[in-house]
Amino acid sequence: MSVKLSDSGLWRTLSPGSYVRALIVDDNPSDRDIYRRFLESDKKRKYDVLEAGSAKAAIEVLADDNIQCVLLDYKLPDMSGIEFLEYLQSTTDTSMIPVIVVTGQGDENLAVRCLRKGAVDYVPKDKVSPGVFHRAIGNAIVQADMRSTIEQQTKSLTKANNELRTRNEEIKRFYHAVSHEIKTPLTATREFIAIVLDELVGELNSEQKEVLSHALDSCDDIATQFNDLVDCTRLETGKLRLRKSPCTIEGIIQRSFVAVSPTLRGSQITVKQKVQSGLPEVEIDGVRMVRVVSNLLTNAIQHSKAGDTIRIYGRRLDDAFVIGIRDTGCGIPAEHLPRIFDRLYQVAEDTDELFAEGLGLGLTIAREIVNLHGGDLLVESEVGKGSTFIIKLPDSIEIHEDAREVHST
Amino acid sequence: MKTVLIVEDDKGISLAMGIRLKAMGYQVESASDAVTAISQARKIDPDVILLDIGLPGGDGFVVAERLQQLNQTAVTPIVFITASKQAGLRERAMEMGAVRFIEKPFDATELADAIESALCPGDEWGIVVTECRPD
Repeated sequence: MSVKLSDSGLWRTLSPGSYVRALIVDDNPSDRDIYRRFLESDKKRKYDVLEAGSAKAAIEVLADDNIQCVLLDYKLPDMSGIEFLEYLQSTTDTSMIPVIVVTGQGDENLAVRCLRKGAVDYVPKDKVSPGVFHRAIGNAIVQADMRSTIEQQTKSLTKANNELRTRNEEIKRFYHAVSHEIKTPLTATREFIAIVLDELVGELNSEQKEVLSHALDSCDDIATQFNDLVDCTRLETGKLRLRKSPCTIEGIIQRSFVAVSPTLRGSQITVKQKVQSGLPEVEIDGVRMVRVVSNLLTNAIQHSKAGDTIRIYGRRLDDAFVIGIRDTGCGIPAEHLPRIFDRLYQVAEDTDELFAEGLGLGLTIAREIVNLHGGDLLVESEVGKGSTFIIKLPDSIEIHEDAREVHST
Repeated sequence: MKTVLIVEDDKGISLAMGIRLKAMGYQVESASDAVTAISQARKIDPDVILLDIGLPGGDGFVVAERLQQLNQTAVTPIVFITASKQAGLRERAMEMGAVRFIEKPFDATELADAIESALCPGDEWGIVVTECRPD
Protein backbone atom coordinates (compact mmCIF):
# COMPACT_ATOMS: atom_id res chain seq x y z
CA MET A 1 0.00 0.00 0.00
CA SER A 2 1.45 3.28 -1.00
CA VAL A 3 0.42 6.73 -2.02
CA LYS A 4 2.36 8.22 -4.84
CA LEU A 5 3.77 11.66 -4.65
CA SER A 6 4.20 13.03 -8.15
CA ASP A 7 7.51 14.48 -9.30
CA SER A 8 6.39 18.04 -8.87
CA GLY A 9 5.49 17.36 -5.27
CA LEU A 10 1.78 17.63 -5.97
CA TRP A 11 -0.82 15.19 -4.88
CA ARG A 12 -2.40 13.94 -8.01
CA THR A 13 -6.02 13.00 -8.06
CA LEU A 14 -5.96 9.39 -7.09
CA SER A 15 -6.88 6.81 -9.61
CA PRO A 16 -9.41 4.14 -8.55
CA GLY A 17 -7.75 1.42 -6.59
CA SER A 18 -5.12 3.56 -4.90
CA TYR A 19 -5.30 4.52 -1.26
CA VAL A 20 -6.24 7.74 0.44
CA ARG A 21 -4.18 8.24 3.55
CA ALA A 22 -6.54 9.80 6.08
CA LEU A 23 -6.03 10.81 9.69
CA ILE A 24 -8.90 10.80 12.17
CA VAL A 25 -8.31 13.12 15.11
CA ASP A 26 -10.79 12.51 17.93
CA ASP A 27 -10.36 11.88 21.63
CA ASN A 28 -13.31 9.50 21.70
CA PRO A 29 -12.16 5.98 20.66
CA SER A 30 -15.64 4.82 19.76
CA ASP A 31 -16.20 7.85 17.48
CA ARG A 32 -12.85 7.12 15.82
CA ASP A 33 -13.96 3.55 15.29
CA ILE A 34 -17.26 4.63 13.70
CA TYR A 35 -15.54 7.14 11.40
CA ARG A 36 -13.01 4.51 10.36
CA ARG A 37 -15.74 2.05 9.45
CA PHE A 38 -17.56 4.77 7.53
CA LEU A 39 -14.47 5.46 5.48
CA GLU A 40 -13.74 1.81 4.86
CA SER A 41 -17.25 1.32 3.49
CA ASP A 42 -16.43 3.64 0.54
CA LYS A 43 -16.75 1.70 -2.71
CA LYS A 44 -14.94 4.29 -4.83
CA ARG A 45 -11.85 4.77 -2.71
CA LYS A 46 -9.72 2.70 -0.45
CA TYR A 47 -8.43 4.27 2.74
CA ASP A 48 -5.35 3.87 4.78
CA VAL A 49 -6.68 5.24 8.06
CA LEU A 50 -4.52 6.52 10.88
CA GLU A 51 -5.87 7.65 14.24
CA ALA A 52 -4.85 10.20 16.84
CA GLY A 53 -6.51 10.77 20.20
CA SER A 54 -5.14 14.24 20.79
CA ALA A 55 -3.86 17.26 18.89
CA LYS A 56 -0.34 16.50 20.04
CA ALA A 57 -0.50 12.94 18.72
CA ALA A 58 -2.02 14.23 15.46
CA ILE A 59 0.81 16.72 14.95
CA GLU A 60 3.35 13.94 15.39
CA VAL A 61 1.61 11.77 12.79
CA LEU A 62 1.34 14.71 10.38
CA ALA A 63 5.05 15.43 10.69
CA ASP A 64 6.02 11.94 9.57
CA ASP A 65 3.32 10.62 7.31
CA ASN A 66 2.08 11.79 3.99
CA ILE A 67 -1.44 12.45 5.18
CA GLN A 68 -3.79 13.51 2.41
CA CYS A 69 -6.83 14.33 4.46
CA VAL A 70 -7.70 15.02 8.10
CA LEU A 71 -11.03 14.41 9.81
CA LEU A 72 -10.92 16.65 12.85
CA ASP A 73 -13.21 16.59 15.85
CA TYR A 74 -13.55 20.15 16.98
CA LYS A 75 -13.38 19.32 20.68
CA LEU A 76 -9.97 18.04 21.60
CA PRO A 77 -8.60 17.80 25.14
CA ASP A 78 -5.35 19.67 24.49
CA MET A 79 -6.22 22.19 21.76
CA SER A 80 -9.32 23.72 20.17
CA GLY A 81 -10.06 22.97 16.52
CA ILE A 82 -9.27 26.59 15.63
CA GLU A 83 -5.85 26.38 17.29
CA PHE A 84 -5.16 23.11 15.53
CA LEU A 85 -6.06 24.63 12.16
CA GLU A 86 -3.88 27.67 12.86
CA TYR A 87 -1.01 25.37 13.64
CA LEU A 88 -1.44 23.45 10.37
CA GLN A 89 -1.64 26.67 8.35
CA SER A 90 1.52 28.07 9.93
CA THR A 91 3.59 25.04 9.01
CA THR A 92 4.70 24.73 5.38
CA ASP A 93 4.49 20.93 5.25
CA THR A 94 0.95 20.78 6.55
CA SER A 95 -0.61 23.99 5.21
CA MET A 96 -1.87 22.23 2.09
CA ILE A 97 -3.49 19.23 3.81
CA PRO A 98 -7.28 19.45 3.55
CA VAL A 99 -9.06 19.30 6.92
CA ILE A 100 -12.72 18.42 7.40
CA VAL A 101 -14.03 19.50 10.81
CA VAL A 102 -16.71 17.58 12.66
CA THR A 103 -18.54 20.24 14.68
CA GLY A 104 -21.07 20.07 17.47
CA GLN A 105 -24.76 20.25 16.74
CA GLY A 106 -26.13 23.50 15.36
CA ASP A 107 -22.91 25.48 15.73
CA GLU A 108 -22.82 27.20 12.34
CA ASN A 109 -20.74 30.14 13.54
CA LEU A 110 -17.99 27.85 14.68
CA ALA A 111 -18.10 26.05 11.35
CA VAL A 112 -17.65 29.37 9.53
CA ARG A 113 -14.69 30.26 11.74
CA CYS A 114 -13.09 26.92 10.94
CA LEU A 115 -13.53 27.52 7.21
CA ARG A 116 -11.88 30.94 7.61
CA LYS A 117 -8.96 29.27 9.34
CA GLY A 118 -8.38 26.99 6.38
CA ALA A 119 -10.72 24.01 6.88
CA VAL A 120 -12.06 22.84 3.52
CA ASP A 121 -15.38 21.58 4.83
CA TYR A 122 -17.34 20.79 7.97
CA VAL A 123 -19.80 18.09 8.97
CA PRO A 124 -22.16 18.65 11.92
CA LYS A 125 -21.97 15.69 14.26
CA ASP A 126 -25.63 14.83 13.78
CA LYS A 127 -25.22 14.71 10.00
CA VAL A 128 -22.32 12.29 10.03
CA SER A 129 -22.91 9.34 7.70
CA PRO A 130 -20.74 7.25 5.36
CA GLY A 131 -22.05 9.08 2.28
CA VAL A 132 -21.41 12.54 3.75
CA PHE A 133 -17.85 11.57 4.63
CA HIS A 134 -17.17 10.04 1.21
CA ARG A 135 -18.39 13.14 -0.58
CA ALA A 136 -16.57 15.53 1.73
CA ILE A 137 -13.29 13.67 1.42
CA GLY A 138 -13.61 13.26 -2.35
CA ASN A 139 -14.21 17.00 -2.78
CA ALA A 140 -11.46 17.88 -0.35
CA ILE A 141 -8.87 15.85 -2.22
CA VAL A 142 -9.80 17.25 -5.61
CA GLN A 143 -9.79 20.78 -4.19
CA ALA A 144 -6.45 20.33 -2.50
CA ASP A 145 -5.02 19.01 -5.70
CA MET A 146 -6.22 22.01 -7.70
CA ARG A 147 -5.10 24.44 -5.03
CA SER A 148 -1.66 23.00 -4.94
CA THR A 149 -1.41 23.01 -8.75
CA ILE A 150 -2.49 26.64 -8.89
CA GLU A 151 -0.07 27.62 -6.16
CA GLN A 152 2.80 25.92 -7.92
CA GLN A 153 1.92 27.57 -11.20
CA THR A 154 1.55 30.97 -9.60
CA LYS A 155 4.91 30.52 -7.96
CA SER A 156 6.67 29.55 -11.17
CA LEU A 157 4.96 32.35 -13.11
CA THR A 158 5.96 34.91 -10.51
CA LYS A 159 9.49 33.61 -10.63
CA ALA A 160 9.62 33.71 -14.44
CA ASN A 161 8.12 37.17 -14.44
CA ASN A 162 10.70 38.49 -12.01
CA GLU A 163 13.50 36.95 -14.01
CA LEU A 164 12.22 38.62 -17.17
CA ARG A 165 11.94 41.96 -15.43
CA THR A 166 15.50 41.70 -14.16
CA ARG A 167 16.70 40.67 -17.59
CA ASN A 168 14.96 43.60 -19.21
CA GLU A 169 16.56 46.02 -16.77
CA GLU A 170 19.95 44.49 -17.45
CA ILE A 171 19.50 44.90 -21.19
CA LYS A 172 18.47 48.53 -20.77
CA ARG A 173 21.48 49.26 -18.59
CA PHE A 174 23.67 47.49 -21.10
CA TYR A 175 22.34 49.64 -23.96
CA HIS A 176 22.97 52.78 -21.98
CA ALA A 177 26.47 51.72 -21.04
CA VAL A 178 27.41 50.70 -24.59
CA SER A 179 25.98 53.91 -25.98
CA HIS A 180 27.92 56.01 -23.48
CA GLU A 181 31.17 54.15 -23.98
CA ILE A 182 31.03 54.46 -27.76
CA LYS A 183 29.94 58.06 -27.85
CA THR A 184 32.86 59.29 -25.79
CA PRO A 185 35.62 58.37 -28.27
CA LEU A 186 33.22 59.21 -31.08
CA THR A 187 32.89 62.75 -29.76
CA ALA A 188 36.65 63.13 -29.81
CA THR A 189 36.91 61.66 -33.32
CA ARG A 190 34.18 63.88 -34.64
CA GLU A 191 35.73 66.98 -33.10
CA PHE A 192 39.22 66.18 -34.45
CA ILE A 193 37.75 65.78 -37.92
CA ALA A 194 35.83 69.03 -37.50
CA ILE A 195 39.00 70.82 -36.41
CA VAL A 196 40.80 69.74 -39.57
CA LEU A 197 37.75 70.47 -41.70
CA ASP A 198 37.43 73.96 -40.22
CA GLU A 199 41.09 74.52 -41.15
CA LEU A 200 42.15 75.26 -37.59
CA VAL A 201 45.33 73.27 -38.19
CA GLY A 202 46.07 74.13 -41.80
CA GLU A 203 44.40 74.82 -45.12
CA LEU A 204 42.57 72.18 -47.13
CA ASN A 205 41.66 71.88 -50.78
CA SER A 206 38.02 71.40 -51.73
CA GLU A 207 38.40 67.67 -52.34
CA GLN A 208 39.88 67.14 -48.87
CA LYS A 209 37.06 69.16 -47.39
CA GLU A 210 34.47 67.04 -49.13
CA VAL A 211 36.03 63.79 -47.95
CA LEU A 212 36.21 65.03 -44.37
CA SER A 213 32.65 66.23 -44.44
CA HIS A 214 31.62 62.66 -45.31
CA ALA A 215 33.63 61.45 -42.33
CA LEU A 216 31.78 63.93 -40.17
CA ASP A 217 28.43 62.71 -41.49
CA SER A 218 29.43 59.15 -40.70
CA CYS A 219 30.25 60.15 -37.13
CA ASP A 220 26.81 61.67 -36.84
CA ASP A 221 25.32 58.45 -38.23
CA ILE A 222 27.07 56.43 -35.54
CA ALA A 223 25.78 58.77 -32.86
CA THR A 224 22.27 58.49 -34.27
CA GLN A 225 22.49 54.71 -34.29
CA PHE A 226 23.47 54.65 -30.67
CA ASN A 227 20.79 57.11 -29.76
CA ASP A 228 18.43 54.68 -31.48
CA LEU A 229 19.66 51.93 -29.27
CA VAL A 230 18.69 53.95 -26.24
CA ASP A 231 15.51 55.17 -27.93
CA CYS A 232 14.62 51.57 -28.45
CA THR A 233 14.61 50.91 -24.73
CA ARG A 234 12.25 53.84 -24.46
CA LEU A 235 9.81 52.58 -27.09
CA GLU A 236 7.77 50.71 -24.54
CA THR A 237 7.42 53.78 -22.36
CA GLY A 238 6.50 55.95 -25.34
CA LYS A 239 9.38 58.34 -24.78
CA LEU A 240 10.52 58.49 -28.39
CA ARG A 241 9.58 61.88 -29.85
CA LEU A 242 9.33 62.87 -33.51
CA ARG A 243 10.75 66.04 -35.03
CA LYS A 244 8.41 66.77 -37.91
CA SER A 245 9.01 69.13 -40.78
CA PRO A 246 7.73 69.47 -44.37
CA CYS A 247 9.17 66.78 -46.70
CA THR A 248 8.25 65.04 -49.92
CA ILE A 249 7.93 61.30 -50.42
CA GLU A 250 10.24 61.64 -53.41
CA GLY A 251 12.82 63.46 -51.26
CA ILE A 252 12.67 60.75 -48.60
CA ILE A 253 13.22 58.01 -51.19
CA GLN A 254 16.00 60.01 -52.85
CA ARG A 255 17.83 60.64 -49.57
CA SER A 256 17.47 56.98 -48.55
CA PHE A 257 18.92 55.92 -51.86
CA VAL A 258 21.90 58.24 -51.34
CA ALA A 259 22.36 56.82 -47.84
CA VAL A 260 22.64 53.23 -49.08
CA SER A 261 24.59 53.96 -52.25
CA PRO A 262 27.97 53.12 -50.64
CA THR A 263 26.57 49.64 -49.81
CA LEU A 264 25.30 49.32 -53.33
CA ARG A 265 28.54 50.28 -55.04
CA GLY A 266 30.13 47.33 -56.86
CA SER A 267 27.34 44.95 -55.84
CA GLN A 268 25.75 44.73 -59.31
CA ILE A 269 22.39 45.10 -57.64
CA THR A 270 20.04 47.55 -59.30
CA VAL A 271 17.66 49.76 -57.38
CA LYS A 272 14.76 51.08 -59.43
CA GLN A 273 12.75 53.98 -58.09
CA LYS A 274 9.28 54.95 -59.14
CA VAL A 275 7.47 57.82 -57.48
CA GLN A 276 4.00 58.92 -58.48
CA SER A 277 4.12 62.47 -59.80
CA GLY A 278 2.29 65.32 -58.13
CA LEU A 279 2.44 63.94 -54.59
CA PRO A 280 1.94 66.77 -52.07
CA GLU A 281 4.31 67.85 -49.33
CA VAL A 282 3.88 65.96 -46.10
CA GLU A 283 4.71 66.70 -42.50
CA ILE A 284 6.89 63.93 -41.10
CA ASP A 285 10.14 63.36 -39.22
CA GLY A 286 12.29 63.33 -42.35
CA VAL A 287 15.53 62.23 -40.70
CA ARG A 288 13.87 59.27 -39.04
CA MET A 289 11.79 58.33 -42.08
CA VAL A 290 14.93 58.31 -44.22
CA ARG A 291 16.43 55.97 -41.64
CA VAL A 292 13.41 53.66 -41.88
CA VAL A 293 13.55 53.53 -45.67
CA SER A 294 17.32 53.16 -45.84
CA ASN A 295 17.18 50.46 -43.19
CA LEU A 296 14.65 48.53 -45.30
CA LEU A 297 16.75 49.17 -48.41
CA THR A 298 19.86 47.90 -46.65
CA ASN A 299 18.01 44.74 -45.62
CA ALA A 300 16.86 44.29 -49.21
CA ILE A 301 20.43 44.74 -50.51
CA GLN A 302 21.75 42.22 -48.00
CA HIS A 303 19.28 39.63 -49.24
CA SER A 304 19.91 40.25 -52.91
CA LYS A 305 22.67 38.91 -55.13
CA ALA A 306 24.47 40.28 -58.16
CA GLY A 307 22.07 40.91 -61.01
CA ASP A 308 19.01 41.26 -58.76
CA THR A 309 16.75 44.30 -58.87
CA ILE A 310 15.24 46.03 -55.87
CA ARG A 311 12.19 48.15 -56.54
CA ILE A 312 11.24 51.08 -54.41
CA TYR A 313 8.06 52.98 -55.08
CA GLY A 314 6.12 55.85 -53.60
CA ARG A 315 2.49 56.52 -54.30
CA ARG A 316 -0.86 57.50 -52.93
CA LEU A 317 -3.18 54.56 -52.33
CA ASP A 318 -6.73 55.34 -51.16
CA ASP A 319 -6.35 57.33 -47.95
CA ALA A 320 -2.67 56.57 -47.45
CA PHE A 321 0.78 57.37 -48.76
CA VAL A 322 2.72 54.21 -49.42
CA ILE A 323 6.43 53.56 -49.78
CA GLY A 324 7.23 50.01 -50.81
CA ILE A 325 10.56 48.20 -51.00
CA ARG A 326 10.52 44.94 -52.90
CA ASP A 327 13.41 42.52 -53.20
CA THR A 328 13.78 39.20 -54.98
CA GLY A 329 15.86 37.66 -52.21
CA CYS A 330 15.40 34.52 -50.17
CA GLY A 331 12.18 35.63 -48.49
CA ILE A 332 11.15 35.13 -44.89
CA PRO A 333 9.61 31.83 -43.75
CA ALA A 334 5.96 32.28 -42.72
CA GLU A 335 6.61 31.13 -39.17
CA HIS A 336 9.10 33.97 -38.64
CA LEU A 337 6.94 36.72 -40.12
CA PRO A 338 4.97 37.57 -36.99
CA ARG A 339 8.17 38.04 -35.01
CA ILE A 340 10.52 39.92 -37.32
CA PHE A 341 9.55 43.25 -35.78
CA ASP A 342 10.37 42.02 -32.29
CA ARG A 343 13.32 43.56 -30.58
CA LEU A 344 16.60 41.69 -31.09
CA TYR A 345 14.82 39.02 -33.08
CA GLN A 346 16.83 37.77 -36.00
CA VAL A 347 15.91 35.01 -38.32
CA ALA A 348 18.72 32.53 -38.56
CA GLU A 349 18.35 29.46 -40.64
CA ASP A 350 21.29 27.12 -40.37
CA THR A 351 24.25 29.20 -41.39
CA ASP A 352 22.33 31.33 -43.83
CA GLU A 353 21.30 34.24 -41.67
CA LEU A 354 18.69 36.50 -43.10
CA PHE A 355 19.41 39.35 -40.74
CA ALA A 356 23.04 38.70 -40.13
CA GLU A 357 24.10 42.29 -39.71
CA GLY A 358 23.30 44.72 -36.98
CA LEU A 359 21.69 44.33 -33.62
CA GLY A 360 18.27 43.34 -34.85
CA LEU A 361 16.88 46.65 -33.71
CA GLY A 362 16.35 48.03 -37.19
CA LEU A 363 12.89 46.67 -37.87
CA THR A 364 11.67 47.30 -34.34
CA ILE A 365 12.64 50.95 -34.54
CA ALA A 366 11.43 51.23 -38.13
CA ARG A 367 7.98 50.01 -37.23
CA GLU A 368 7.87 52.19 -34.13
CA ILE A 369 8.76 55.29 -36.12
CA VAL A 370 6.10 54.51 -38.71
CA ASN A 371 3.58 53.85 -35.94
CA LEU A 372 4.41 57.16 -34.28
CA HIS A 373 3.43 58.80 -37.56
CA GLY A 374 0.07 57.08 -37.28
CA GLY A 375 1.05 54.61 -39.98
CA ASP A 376 1.91 50.97 -40.27
CA LEU A 377 4.86 48.92 -41.49
CA LEU A 378 3.73 45.79 -43.28
CA VAL A 379 5.54 42.88 -44.85
CA GLU A 380 4.65 40.36 -47.51
CA SER A 381 7.07 37.57 -48.16
CA GLU A 382 7.42 34.28 -49.89
CA VAL A 383 10.37 31.95 -49.42
CA GLY A 384 12.49 31.87 -52.56
CA LYS A 385 10.66 34.76 -54.20
CA GLY A 386 11.46 37.73 -51.99
CA SER A 387 9.95 40.20 -49.60
CA THR A 388 8.08 43.48 -49.85
CA PHE A 389 8.10 45.91 -46.96
CA ILE A 390 5.37 48.53 -47.14
CA ILE A 391 5.36 51.78 -45.20
CA LYS A 392 1.80 53.01 -45.02
CA LEU A 393 1.33 56.58 -43.80
CA PRO A 394 -2.09 58.16 -43.27
CA ASP A 395 -3.00 61.00 -45.66
CA SER A 396 -3.49 63.27 -42.64
CA ILE A 397 0.25 64.00 -42.89
CA GLU A 398 -0.42 65.93 -46.09
CA ILE A 399 0.27 69.65 -45.92
CA HIS A 400 -2.58 71.45 -47.67
CA GLU A 401 -1.69 74.45 -49.79
CA ASP A 402 -4.38 76.69 -48.26
CA ALA A 403 -3.26 75.77 -44.75
CA ARG A 404 0.28 76.68 -45.72
CA GLU A 405 -0.77 80.11 -46.94
CA VAL A 406 -2.62 80.81 -43.72
CA HIS A 407 0.39 79.59 -41.85
CA SER A 408 2.84 81.80 -43.72
CA THR A 409 0.87 85.04 -43.41
CA MET B 1 41.65 86.95 -22.73
CA LYS B 2 38.81 84.90 -21.23
CA THR B 3 39.71 81.60 -19.61
CA VAL B 4 37.77 78.36 -20.05
CA LEU B 5 38.31 75.43 -17.71
CA ILE B 6 37.63 72.10 -19.43
CA VAL B 7 36.73 69.34 -16.98
CA GLU B 8 36.72 66.13 -19.00
CA ASP B 9 38.19 62.72 -18.27
CA ASP B 10 38.47 61.65 -21.90
CA LYS B 11 41.83 62.87 -23.14
CA GLY B 12 40.73 62.99 -26.78
CA ILE B 13 37.68 65.13 -26.14
CA SER B 14 39.61 67.40 -23.80
CA LEU B 15 42.38 67.89 -26.37
CA ALA B 16 39.95 68.50 -29.22
CA MET B 17 37.92 71.03 -27.26
CA GLY B 18 41.17 72.71 -26.25
CA ILE B 19 42.25 73.15 -29.87
CA ARG B 20 38.81 74.43 -30.82
CA LEU B 21 38.57 76.91 -27.96
CA LYS B 22 42.09 78.21 -28.44
CA ALA B 23 41.25 78.82 -32.09
CA MET B 24 38.24 80.81 -30.91
CA GLY B 25 40.52 82.98 -28.86
CA TYR B 26 40.12 81.60 -25.37
CA GLN B 27 42.76 80.66 -22.88
CA VAL B 28 42.23 77.00 -22.01
CA GLU B 29 42.96 75.07 -18.82
CA SER B 30 41.93 71.50 -18.14
CA ALA B 31 41.25 68.99 -15.41
CA SER B 32 40.35 65.32 -15.78
CA ASP B 33 38.82 64.41 -12.43
CA ALA B 34 36.53 65.93 -9.80
CA VAL B 35 39.18 66.85 -7.24
CA THR B 36 41.55 68.49 -9.73
CA ALA B 37 38.59 70.32 -11.24
CA ILE B 38 37.81 72.03 -7.95
CA SER B 39 41.42 72.93 -7.13
CA GLN B 40 42.02 74.19 -10.69
CA ALA B 41 38.87 76.29 -10.58
CA ARG B 42 40.00 77.94 -7.34
CA LYS B 43 43.48 78.54 -8.64
CA ILE B 44 42.78 79.99 -12.08
CA ASP B 45 39.32 81.47 -11.49
CA PRO B 46 38.01 80.68 -15.00
CA ASP B 47 35.35 82.71 -16.79
CA VAL B 48 33.48 79.57 -17.87
CA ILE B 49 33.64 75.93 -16.82
CA LEU B 50 32.89 73.13 -19.30
CA LEU B 51 31.92 70.28 -17.04
CA ASP B 52 31.55 66.64 -18.04
CA ILE B 53 28.97 64.78 -15.94
CA GLY B 54 30.66 61.38 -15.84
CA LEU B 55 33.91 61.96 -13.98
CA PRO B 56 36.19 59.87 -11.82
CA GLY B 57 36.15 60.85 -8.15
CA GLY B 58 32.64 62.35 -8.11
CA ASP B 59 30.28 63.28 -10.93
CA GLY B 60 29.88 66.72 -12.52
CA PHE B 61 26.94 67.52 -10.26
CA VAL B 62 29.06 67.01 -7.17
CA VAL B 63 31.74 69.28 -8.64
CA ALA B 64 29.18 71.96 -9.52
CA GLU B 65 27.64 71.82 -6.07
CA ARG B 66 31.02 72.22 -4.43
CA LEU B 67 32.01 75.09 -6.74
CA GLN B 68 28.78 76.90 -5.96
CA GLN B 69 29.56 76.66 -2.25
CA LEU B 70 32.94 78.33 -2.65
CA ASN B 71 32.94 82.14 -2.67
CA GLN B 72 35.40 82.43 -5.49
CA THR B 73 33.57 80.14 -7.91
CA ALA B 74 29.99 80.54 -6.67
CA VAL B 75 28.79 82.41 -9.76
CA THR B 76 31.15 81.05 -12.40
CA PRO B 77 28.96 79.96 -15.33
CA ILE B 78 28.88 76.19 -15.93
CA VAL B 79 28.16 74.36 -19.19
CA PHE B 80 27.42 70.68 -18.61
CA ILE B 81 28.48 68.10 -21.19
CA THR B 82 27.50 64.45 -21.27
CA ALA B 83 27.39 61.34 -23.45
CA SER B 84 24.76 59.80 -21.21
CA LYS B 85 21.16 59.47 -22.32
CA GLN B 86 19.96 58.84 -18.80
CA ALA B 87 16.59 60.49 -18.21
CA GLY B 88 16.44 63.66 -16.15
CA LEU B 89 20.07 64.76 -16.52
CA ARG B 90 19.24 67.91 -18.46
CA GLU B 91 16.57 68.90 -15.95
CA ARG B 92 18.94 68.34 -13.06
CA ALA B 93 21.69 70.37 -14.73
CA MET B 94 19.33 73.26 -15.42
CA GLU B 95 18.02 73.17 -11.86
CA MET B 96 21.59 73.58 -10.67
CA GLY B 97 21.81 76.78 -12.66
CA ALA B 98 23.77 75.50 -15.64
CA VAL B 99 24.01 77.89 -18.57
CA ARG B 100 23.71 75.11 -21.12
CA PHE B 101 23.50 71.35 -21.33
CA ILE B 102 25.33 69.82 -24.29
CA GLU B 103 25.04 66.24 -25.46
CA LYS B 104 27.98 64.42 -26.97
CA PRO B 105 28.77 64.36 -29.78
CA PHE B 106 28.31 68.12 -30.18
CA ASP B 107 29.43 70.38 -32.97
CA ALA B 108 31.58 73.47 -32.82
CA THR B 109 28.66 75.86 -33.22
CA GLU B 110 26.90 74.37 -30.22
CA LEU B 111 30.03 74.68 -28.12
CA ALA B 112 30.71 78.24 -29.26
CA ASP B 113 27.10 79.28 -28.60
CA ALA B 114 27.18 77.79 -25.14
CA ILE B 115 30.37 79.56 -24.15
CA GLU B 116 29.26 82.85 -25.61
CA SER B 117 25.96 82.77 -23.80
CA ALA B 118 27.82 81.87 -20.61
CA LEU B 119 30.07 84.90 -21.05
CA CYS B 120 27.30 87.24 -22.21
CA PRO B 121 24.28 86.38 -20.07
CA GLY B 122 22.46 89.45 -21.45
CA ASP B 123 22.11 87.80 -24.86
CA GLU B 124 19.66 85.29 -23.47
CA TRP B 125 17.38 88.16 -22.53
CA GLY B 126 17.90 90.13 -25.74
CA ILE B 127 20.01 92.71 -23.91
CA VAL B 128 22.94 94.06 -25.88
CA VAL B 129 26.07 93.74 -23.81
CA THR B 130 29.26 94.99 -25.35
CA GLU B 131 32.77 94.22 -24.21
CA CYS B 132 32.05 90.63 -23.33
CA ARG B 133 33.37 88.92 -26.45
CA PRO B 134 36.63 87.03 -26.12
CA ASP B 135 39.40 89.60 -26.11
